[in-house]
Amino acid sequence: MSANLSYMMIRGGHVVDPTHGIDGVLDLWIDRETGRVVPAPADPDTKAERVIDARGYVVMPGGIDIHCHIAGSKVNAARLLRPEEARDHGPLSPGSQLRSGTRGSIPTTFSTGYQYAGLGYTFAMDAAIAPLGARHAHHELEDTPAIDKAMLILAGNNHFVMDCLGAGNHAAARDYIAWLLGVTRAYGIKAVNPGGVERWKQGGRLAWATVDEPVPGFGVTPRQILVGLARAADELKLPHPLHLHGLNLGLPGNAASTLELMQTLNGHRAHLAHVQFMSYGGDPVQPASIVPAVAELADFVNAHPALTVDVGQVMFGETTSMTADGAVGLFLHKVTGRKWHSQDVEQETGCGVVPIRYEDHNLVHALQWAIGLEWFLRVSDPWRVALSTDHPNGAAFTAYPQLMALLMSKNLRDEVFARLPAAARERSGLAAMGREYSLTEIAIVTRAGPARMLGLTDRGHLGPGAHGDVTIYAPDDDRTRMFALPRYVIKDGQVIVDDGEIRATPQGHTLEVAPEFDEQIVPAVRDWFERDASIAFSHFGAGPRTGEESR
Amino acid sequence: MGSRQTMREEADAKPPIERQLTEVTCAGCGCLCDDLTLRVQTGKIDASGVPCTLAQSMYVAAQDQVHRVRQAPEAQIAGQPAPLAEVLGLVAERLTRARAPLILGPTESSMEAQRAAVALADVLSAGIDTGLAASGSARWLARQRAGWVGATWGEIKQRADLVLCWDVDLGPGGPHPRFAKRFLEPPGRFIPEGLAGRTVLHLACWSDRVAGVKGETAIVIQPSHALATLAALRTLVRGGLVDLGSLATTTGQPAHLWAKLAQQLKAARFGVIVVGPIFDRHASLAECEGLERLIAELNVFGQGRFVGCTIGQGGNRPGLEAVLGWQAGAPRAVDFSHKHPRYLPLEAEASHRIAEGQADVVLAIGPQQAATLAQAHATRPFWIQIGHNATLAGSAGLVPDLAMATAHPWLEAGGTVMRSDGVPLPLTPLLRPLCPTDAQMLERLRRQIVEQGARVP
Ligand code: SF4
Ligand SMILES: [Zn+2]
Repeated sequence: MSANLSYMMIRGGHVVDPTHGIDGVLDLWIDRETGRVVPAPADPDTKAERVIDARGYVVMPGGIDIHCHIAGSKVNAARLLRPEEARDHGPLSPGSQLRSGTRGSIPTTFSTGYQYAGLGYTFAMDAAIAPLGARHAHHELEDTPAIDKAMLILAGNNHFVMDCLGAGNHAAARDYIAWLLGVTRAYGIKAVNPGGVERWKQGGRLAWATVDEPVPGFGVTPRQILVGLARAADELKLPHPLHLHGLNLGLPGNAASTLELMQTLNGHRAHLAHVQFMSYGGDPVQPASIVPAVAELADFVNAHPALTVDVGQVMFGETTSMTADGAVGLFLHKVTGRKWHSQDVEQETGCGVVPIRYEDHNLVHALQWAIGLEWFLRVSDPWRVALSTDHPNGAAFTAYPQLMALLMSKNLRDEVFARLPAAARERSGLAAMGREYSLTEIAIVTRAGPARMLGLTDRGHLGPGAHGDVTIYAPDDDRTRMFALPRYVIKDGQVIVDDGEIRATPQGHTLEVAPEFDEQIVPAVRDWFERDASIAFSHFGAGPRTGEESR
Repeated sequence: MGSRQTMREEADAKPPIERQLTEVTCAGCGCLCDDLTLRVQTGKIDASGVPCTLAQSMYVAAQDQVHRVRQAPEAQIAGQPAPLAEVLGLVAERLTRARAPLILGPTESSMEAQRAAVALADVLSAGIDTGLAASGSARWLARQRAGWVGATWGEIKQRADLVLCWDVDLGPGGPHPRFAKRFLEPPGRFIPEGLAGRTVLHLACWSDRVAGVKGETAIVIQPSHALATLAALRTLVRGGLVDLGSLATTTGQPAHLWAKLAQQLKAARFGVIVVGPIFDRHASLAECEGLERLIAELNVFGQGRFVGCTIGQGGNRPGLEAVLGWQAGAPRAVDFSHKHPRYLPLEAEASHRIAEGQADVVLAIGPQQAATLAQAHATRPFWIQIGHNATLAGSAGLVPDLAMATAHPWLEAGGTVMRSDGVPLPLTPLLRPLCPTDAQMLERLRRQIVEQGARVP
């Protein structure tokens, strides 16, 4: 009877693994050489070299963030725009051989990795990278340790895509998307206000977007872009379907656009990002007319299994809004009067960054808070709603523990609700909703569900073959405290956080896809690129990998 | 890193091969053109076919330097040749012992080297800045107050129907010889006539000569009127009342000209104000802020989109600013002395720290510059130079205390550079380096320092 050097055993914890329907006491074995979960050894005398006594603790897979903004030109511009964020939130100075950094809504990269790990998250998806800036974004992801990560690239206002779809050449658009994913080393595609960003770049006017108004100069409508991209993602069998930020984000009355988009998808898989920001009734030109319009949208999602959502919950406090929907940046600048950064990216996208403070006494902000929670409570199948704040748009990811606590306690929600303006309380149906999330449901919306939505088959669960990414929480009536300070966080079988202390900072993997496509598309892409772009064709994309393992 | 001698012999023994390299990135000026075709034969670069005289002379000079560095020692102690390993050990030791180390971050290096430099500043709890010139300070402070609106240069090519150049000479003989050729002259998707479809205007304030792209004449204003001019333009753009008569008297330009300029800016479908190193060097914080606010307001009160465009000096300052942004949360003037990054504009500026005698050891990364060394000589911090020409005899007999030579950043090292519109580009190594690259050298140094136990009590 000897210790098996490569095994880690997590003994006797209360394992919550919704993928396998497990909610009970169990030993968990990880082969530290492969970093993967393994079945309990057949020989009952086998001893693991590292044993973690998890008796009395809650054991979950590592958290998976399906939608956040942690890298690339837009996030970095926000850091450069807002050094006050670093001052206001204090430093991250973990000592010894770790890298220091800043906190706040736009932390530095090392700090981002450490803080995610500190919360028990082991994977984060940057949801909006301009392909032209992919090379830069990969540099930042390489400097984001401790977690695995990936990026979605922006495609909804891409000239080549719109030209192909406008000409009715779907196959060319699909092949281009496949090529684009490969050269940028990305994981999936995102459409932000399809066609609308290009329209804004052409005129600078803030206009109400409709699905059937053609994009000038491209002969294509938002509806055609949306369907084309969703179909391409399906045909390319991408692990994650089209990731969609719809039309008229943040404007009262936009729920009608969102419903129309969902109907337009007509059976194609799609993930609707930060739906909270897309679920408002009211009059577009009267901000104060905003009313929640979640019920009908959530019913539609409930009835259509091809759709998933993440919420983009707003939490009260100071944060930074950032979006590829350039017009929204200008809108917020005009509404709040705060400093504005905007950067248009040739042939691809726009970008807007504006600081924002969500206040509980502000009618619009109060309703945004309530609307987000309504989404969590109205989607009946927790597997199809992911927890997000659209970091940092609704709040920084560091607010996740508070959000989990709100989902688990009607009392907590009522306490906040009571502080909201009377008009917000009258318009919101939140107070009548008694649902409280169980631990299993929390595990679904924070890891099992998002992993499934992203097609990450070896994450978000603890079955044999899964990544040995495990978070061990000390049960606590104070759920915020429980989720904010995991007892242990384990990444690929290695303890990376022990009682709040960072113990190890593996580099983490950057996941990518490289779907097959008809190579004949490349000369056409090159011709277009050489005519319109400002850089050489061979310089587009992310360049070769720099050593770290990829999938 | 193999032995330099063996590498040199191997390089000499190689049969002559001629290679044609296409889509080479040039760091000769802030345009960072990435479309050059060069011939390389037996370790010689032939740039004579490059359609830019500035680039041609840059390659000639850089190559000449590469040849001189190949004859120079790989490392030096007080100007005397010494083995690299020994000097590296001394550098690590001296930096670890330093009370207030200061890093002059590499603006003439790849982003890979810049990442390594900021990592070094973190491990040493050092100060780090983007060089000794205060250039850029006002611009960033203004942006942090007012924000900024920009676009990648392809947007300008595709869409710009109005271009206002402020102290930027875009003529072929100027400091950015190919900018107009690449981004203003060609037809754009929405400007099919190319240059003919664009209105190009010039404003000269701090420069005495501005060559129009199409032979336009510049509106000339005195530097002391720059702020008043910006304020008046902003008011006109917002639809406010301006005493045009007194503006005319102040600026010496007729009143109708200002009213027309504001009108043209507002009427642009996609307008752009281009500034360059001259603006960055001279404009005050208030002037920089006035410019950023004018551009933002043109998006609110004008007819279309309006963006700013900055053409940098050449080299890779934007890369260092970006790296400092993601590793330290600020573009420059960062201080790690409290074991975390603090952005201390003015206070942590390298020129200030050196002039005030607040830095006891300076690690200068990049080309050694006579002016920098002269300043160092006056204040006497211990001076460590890591860079391509670090061991070449300096001017005026000034020598660093310790020096280590690295590969030429643009000709030999490879890696990534960033244009001032934020677009990242790869560098093609044209020659096989005999020295380690700066990224390798800095990483090796960091390891050595970590092994020596920096920051561990
Ligand atoms: S314009 Fe500048 S970057 Fe372009 S080739 Fe000439 S020197 Fe090089
Ligand atoms: Zn988002």
